[in-house]
Formats: sequence, C-alpha cells, structure tokens
Amino acid sequence: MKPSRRSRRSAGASLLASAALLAFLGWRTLAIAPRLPGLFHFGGIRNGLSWSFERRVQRAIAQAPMTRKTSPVETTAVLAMVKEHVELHAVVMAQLEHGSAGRQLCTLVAMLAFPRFVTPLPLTEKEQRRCRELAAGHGLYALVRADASQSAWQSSATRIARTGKHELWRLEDRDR
Amino acid sequence: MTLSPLAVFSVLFVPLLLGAGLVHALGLRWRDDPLAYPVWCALTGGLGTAALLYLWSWLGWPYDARLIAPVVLALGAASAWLGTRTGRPPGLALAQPTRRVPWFETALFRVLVLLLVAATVARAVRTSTVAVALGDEAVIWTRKAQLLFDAGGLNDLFGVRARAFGSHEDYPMLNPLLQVWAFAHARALLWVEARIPIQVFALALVLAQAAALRRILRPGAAALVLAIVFFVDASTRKPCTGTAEPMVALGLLVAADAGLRWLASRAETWARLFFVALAFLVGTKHEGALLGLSVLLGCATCALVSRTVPRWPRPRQLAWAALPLAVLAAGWFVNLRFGFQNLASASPLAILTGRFQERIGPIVSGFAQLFFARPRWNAGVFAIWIVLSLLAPARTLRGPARPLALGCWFALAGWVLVYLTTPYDLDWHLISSAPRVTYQVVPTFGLWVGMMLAQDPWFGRFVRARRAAASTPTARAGTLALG
Repeated sequence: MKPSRRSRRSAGASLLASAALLAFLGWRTLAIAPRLPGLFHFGGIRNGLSWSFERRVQRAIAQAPMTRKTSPVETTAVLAMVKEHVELHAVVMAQLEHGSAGRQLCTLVAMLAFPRFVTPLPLTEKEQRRCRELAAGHGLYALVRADASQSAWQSSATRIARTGKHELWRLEDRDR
Repeated sequence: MTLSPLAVFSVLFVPLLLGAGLVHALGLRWRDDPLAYPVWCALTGGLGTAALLYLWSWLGWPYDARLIAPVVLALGAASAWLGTRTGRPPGLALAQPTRRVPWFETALFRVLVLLLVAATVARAVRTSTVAVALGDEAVIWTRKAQLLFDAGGLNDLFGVRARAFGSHEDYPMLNPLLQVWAFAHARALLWVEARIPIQVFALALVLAQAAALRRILRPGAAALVLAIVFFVDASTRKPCTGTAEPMVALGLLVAADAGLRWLASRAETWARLFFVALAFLVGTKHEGALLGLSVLLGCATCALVSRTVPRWPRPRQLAWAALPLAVLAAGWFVNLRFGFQNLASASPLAILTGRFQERIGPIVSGFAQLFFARPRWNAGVFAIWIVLSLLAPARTLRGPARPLALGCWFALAGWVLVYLTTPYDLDWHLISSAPRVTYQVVPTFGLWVGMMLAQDPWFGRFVRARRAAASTPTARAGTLALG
C-alpha cells in the first residue's frame, strides 16, 4: 500500500530532525574539543588541601572588586579593625566606598566579620531603627571613609580606631 | 582547613550512609544501577539530614555533630532494617539492552566518567582556596546558615536577624541546613568547609547524568552527550560553590530519570524515587518548585490528551506525592512564622497587567539571544530543542520523551511569567539570573537529547528501538499511559 501524504511528510520531518540532531552533535563536539585537555588540569589541588584559613581569606579579599581608593591591604586592615574593636553581635553601619563596589566590599567584610552584623549604608529610616534595636546591648558602630566630610552624627559619636583610609566610630545605640 | 580529616569524612559520609539506608527502604539496591546508586544515596541522604536538622532547629537543640551524627546513623540503620523487612516491590527490572557494543566503546564511556568525576573533585578542591565571602553563595546561602547557627535554631532571634541582615530570607532551607551540618562538626562557623555538603551534589550531578544517558544510549553516544553537557561555562553553573544551582539541576534530573524508569517498568519503587527527588527539588530553591510543577503539569497533560486509555498510577504510588508537598509546607511554615516575604510576591498581577506589552518583547529577545547566541552557557540544548520542536513536533512529542518536552515548555512559560512580573529592573534581572536559571534544566535537556537520539536505531541501546520496545510488555504499559 502506498504511504499517505501525511505519513510521508512525517517521515520527511523526522529525517530532517535526525539531520539537525547530527549537525548539533557535530557542532557541539567541535566547540568542546579545545576544552577537553582541561579535564587533565589538576593544578591547585595541593593549595586547596594545604593552605591555611588566613590565606584563603586573603584570596577572597584579593578577588573583591577594587577601586582607586581600596586595595586588598586596606580591606584586610578594615577587617582586622572590625574584628578587634567590635564585639560579637554588634551592628556596624558601613560605607567603605560609593556605588556597587562599595556594597560588595561591605558584603565581603560582613561575611568575614560575622557574627558582627556589618550592614551597608544608606539605610532607610525603618532599617536604621531596626539596627538600633538589634544593637541594643551589643553596640552600634559606623564604619566610614576617613576623607568623608564631617557629619552631624559624629558630634555624638566616639572614634574608636582608624586604618589608612577608614574610621570606626561608636554610636549611641538608643535614641535619646 | 579548620576541620580535621575525620570531621570532613563525617560531613561527607554520614549523610551518604543515611541515604544508603533510605534508598534500601525505598526498595532500591546497588545492582539496580551501580552508577546511579551513589547519586540516590547523596540525594536522599542530603534530604534526610536536612529534615532531621529542620526538626532539630525547631527544638532548639545544640548544633553539635557528636549528638547529631549518631541520630543520623541510627536513622540510616533503621531505614535499612525497614527495607530488609518489607522487601522489594516486584517489577523493578527494566528491559535489558539488545545491542552488542564493542569493548572500546564501553571503555571510552568509563574513562570519560572517571575523568569528569576527577575534574569535578579537582574543581571543588580548587574552589576551596577561596573563603566564602562574595556573591549569592555568601549573601544568600552561607549567610542564612550562619544566622541559623548563630541564633541556635529556628527561634525569634533568627527571624529578627534574618529579616534585618539576610538576603532572600524566604528561600528554602535545604542548602542552609546542610551548611549548618558542616558547622556542627566544628561547633563554630566555617568559611571554607561550609561548601562541602553542597559540593557533593555537583559530583552526584555528573554521575546522575552518566547513569541516565547510559540507560538509554549506546556508550559512545552517551559519552558524547555527557561531554557536551558537562562543558557548560563554569561562570553560569557555579559548579563547586555553595550555591543551590547544581542541587536544582540534580533534583530535576533524578526526578526525570526516575519518572522515565517508572513509566517503563510501572514499579512503585521508581515512583517513590521520583517523588523523593521532587521533594529534594522543591527544597532547593523557588525555581525548583517551579520546575517540579512543570514536570507534574507535563505528565498530567500527557495523561489528559492521551488518545488511548491512560493507566493512572495507583493511589498507593501517588501517596508519595505527600513528600514534596511536606517539604513545600515546611518552607512555607518558616516564612509564615518569621514573616519572610519574597519581593516578587508583592503585586505580581498589577505588574503583569500594567507592563506586559512593554516587557514581553525584551524577554523574548533576551531568551532568544541566550538560547541561540550563547551556546557556551547552555550547551546549545535549548536551540536544538526549539529547532526540533518546529521541524518535527510529532517526533519530539513521541514516546517517553513527551512529558519531558511538555514539562520544558511549561518551565519556559513559567520563567517568562516570572520575568513579566518581576519587581526588579527587567534588564538587570534577565542578565543576572536568566543564564543561571536556564542552566538548571540543561542536564535534563541532555537526557532529552539522549532520548531523541535513542529513537535512532544507530544511537540507541536497543537494536531497532521502537520495534523492540513495542514487543516487551513492560514497555507497552509505559507507552499506553503516554498515549
């Protein structure tokens, strides 16, 4: 019996699909071929097993976004300052740099200084109130650039420590 | 490293032992698929450990591995005993391959799997040279685990601090709970070893892909597809970090593979594994829940539009669907209790109606660009899926591949809906998340490509695959339900 037009069309489409599949396999095989030698790359394993924790932290700091005013050395100094002068569970409102790079640096310090709660500025009124509530009993701090202009809040705050480019201030953790 | 080698061993293998017990209780054994067996253990063990830690966290008991590990091991032993007592449901075996393949083809497949496993382990170790400090890995997942561990459980302190200092605090708990498992070994916070329980799933994903492809393709073809899917750009899939992307991909792939085995054999054991994998999937991320729903919608559509009488699963099999629902409910309860909200859930309908026309163009063009112009990010599998669907829709919707193809269309529709209703800047949201979100289905798409290839007698594991499949009673039962 002669196959119907519909079944012939279906067989033709299926043949086309098979050709497309083969073309796909060929295309992707050619695309991945140069990357196959990467499978034999086992470098860095010894470092992964033997490095000290501090060195891994340094590597994370080195991978953070850089600006003209920050460097791994400065970020390390800021982290050390926060760890030394801020007690656990205290809240630090921080502005290390402007823009997204500043927020990422702040995230990095927040992660590595945990359980000190470093949170990036600017904060809304509600967020500031929440920070004060959470800081009660533990301390509320501000971490700002040393070259920033003098602000009104600094009159009622105490400067605790500073690095080359940043200052740590202790704030009143209750609204008067 | 902060943890001792013994502690690292415990972080890795205690959940696997629990998994082995749970897999035994499900009715699965090593000989059912030696390649997939460690994957099933990792998946069920991870889910079981997280479930225990979830309860532990509500009870506020101390996070100390010296207390938790014996309970995990006892649960594993009890599950294994239960599995031995109840025995295995019948009809588990799948059709044996009829193709004889040359020895070097099998050897090539084995060598490639070994190389991919070694490369994944090497990548995991290399990743650990950097402490967790940047990106979603740190801000979303490790931060949530830190907050939970520091608060000492799921208590008010955790809720208040997570709302103030967390990010996407409404995301599911599976990943953070497993990181807490690592913290419990040090009884302190960790910034490197926290990744270890999550990196296990990146390794499991390689084995799951290999096992799923090997089941349907001849070894040479399976090796080729496996290699193609493995070389997705690392920046997209973040394979060995602490993010949940590989977990979503693993849950979906194991669910799809178990679902296909269930269709082919009708054995309840595969139904159990299917629902356990779905439970894992919905516990990973919200995207996991969307993909799980897409899989179920794909299956339901197949049954509804079937031209033959569909063989519905027995209620006893469907009862296992309670497991993913329980995981969803557990996450929902945490969010409700602590007032965690997703920003995207604020006013989706208003955004959808108000900005549909403005957004649909950029979304379609964004996806088209991603699928057709960025093959390094998704192995080009979306491109071939769309091309085949247009060229030969009947072929893409034929046989067991049908629910998978339909599920993928539902997933695509779901993503479009999410981007249509996003409260964020659309361009930023598309650029920052679309490659990552679409990557999650790439391994499953690899399986779909394998199924398309298997329809060709030259690539399949069966000589004249369709005729052989039609002649076996178990396969006939499978095709009945698919229509």
